[in-house]
Amino acid sequence: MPNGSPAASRKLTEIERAARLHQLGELAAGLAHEINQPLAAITYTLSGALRRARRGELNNAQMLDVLQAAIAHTHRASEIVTRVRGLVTRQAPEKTRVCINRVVREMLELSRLGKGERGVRPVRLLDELAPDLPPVLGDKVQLEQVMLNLLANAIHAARQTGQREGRVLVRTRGDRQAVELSVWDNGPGLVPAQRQRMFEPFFTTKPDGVGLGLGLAICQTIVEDHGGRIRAEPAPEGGLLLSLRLPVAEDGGPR
Amino acid sequence: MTGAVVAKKPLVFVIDDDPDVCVALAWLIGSVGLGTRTFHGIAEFLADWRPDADSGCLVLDVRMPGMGGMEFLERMRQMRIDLPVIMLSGHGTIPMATRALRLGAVDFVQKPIDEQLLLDRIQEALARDVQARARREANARLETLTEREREVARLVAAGRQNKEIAQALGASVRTVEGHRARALRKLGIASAAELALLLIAT
Repeated sequence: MPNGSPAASRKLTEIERAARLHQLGELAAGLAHEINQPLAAITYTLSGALRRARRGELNNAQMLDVLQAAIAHTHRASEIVTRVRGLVTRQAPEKTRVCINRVVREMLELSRLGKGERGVRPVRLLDELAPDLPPVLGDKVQLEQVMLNLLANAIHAARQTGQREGRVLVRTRGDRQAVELSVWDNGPGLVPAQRQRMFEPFFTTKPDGVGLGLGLAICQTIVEDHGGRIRAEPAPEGGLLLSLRLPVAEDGGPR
Repeated sequence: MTGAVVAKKPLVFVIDDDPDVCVALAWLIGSVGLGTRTFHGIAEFLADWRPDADSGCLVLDVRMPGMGGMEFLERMRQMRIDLPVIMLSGHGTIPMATRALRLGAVDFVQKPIDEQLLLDRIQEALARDVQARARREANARLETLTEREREVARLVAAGRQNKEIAQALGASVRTVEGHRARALRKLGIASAAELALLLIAT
């Protein structure tokens, strides 16, 4: 990690391991549910067809519908597998030119997929992404992890909005020097004492068993390791605004 | 049975937020000749609910956004929705299952679901709903009787003659005849045998 201080790198490896395990468990549970859905749909569809066919009650049009539906469900399942595999099987960290808008879009997609946590209020995920954003030089997997963490926190906060609809807005903009990414939620926000400590490892406002308090610590380490900075402030509209700046990739950097 | 419980065609109400699963479940349930209605969320179902709805049962996913399945069971009780419920669960834990049972859910079917098992459970739930409706109906009709009429009705159902009843209650035969006639008229039935059947149902 060329840009990070030795201390920052050490902190990263320690907490990263714990956090990865935790996230893996959550990911596995979510993934199992998401894949079970199309599998269930396939079973019901084919079984319903078989029962009718045995009695000679399945006409040709119905049979075509059934086959088409079953194929669509299998596509849905394999789509989920492809997306998750893309997230977990990347190799050693490597700095390349990364398009932040793309990271945002992919992680938003993944967060929408993770809405499978049933029994919780849905949150509307919005984005305003600057066109022609310059690339940054960084480790895509790590930057994805930052984005996913920020989104997870914002979504969690936006669920605590009482009667109002929970909203999360991701914005990007850039200039010649830096790319700025911000994540806003309309949740209850944080009191100053909480805001002061929010980047400390193991500091969390979530109930026991929900968060380890490592997410933002990891985000900060990764961002600093990329030569950027991250900060949190109360949003004028209420809720919390987290923003980070990353230097743009210089010309001639590895592609 | 008593003739007053009209057997409507039962309906299976399917609630699942996943449109693919919802459609597929309805298609499966329809394959055994049952009628279905599908809803993509609990709110949608509740908005559509009428207290005099058809007999039937509910099939729903425990894991749903908005109001979850468990919370819904509690709300159902408050709203006096008496339909039997079959909960589908991807990760049904024992405490969750016992809580569901205590709240009156008929069944808890774990995913991946054995379709035959699910269909069997649906049939059982529908049968249970028919019985429960007959019982509620009979109770409601008995409620319309005065205490004295109810007493006479029970003795009539037990096969006692008017004279015996009069003796047991210390009333005149004529008074007993009056109670008996009013009770049968209110219950909309003609014979002591039908009365006995009605009382068995309660």
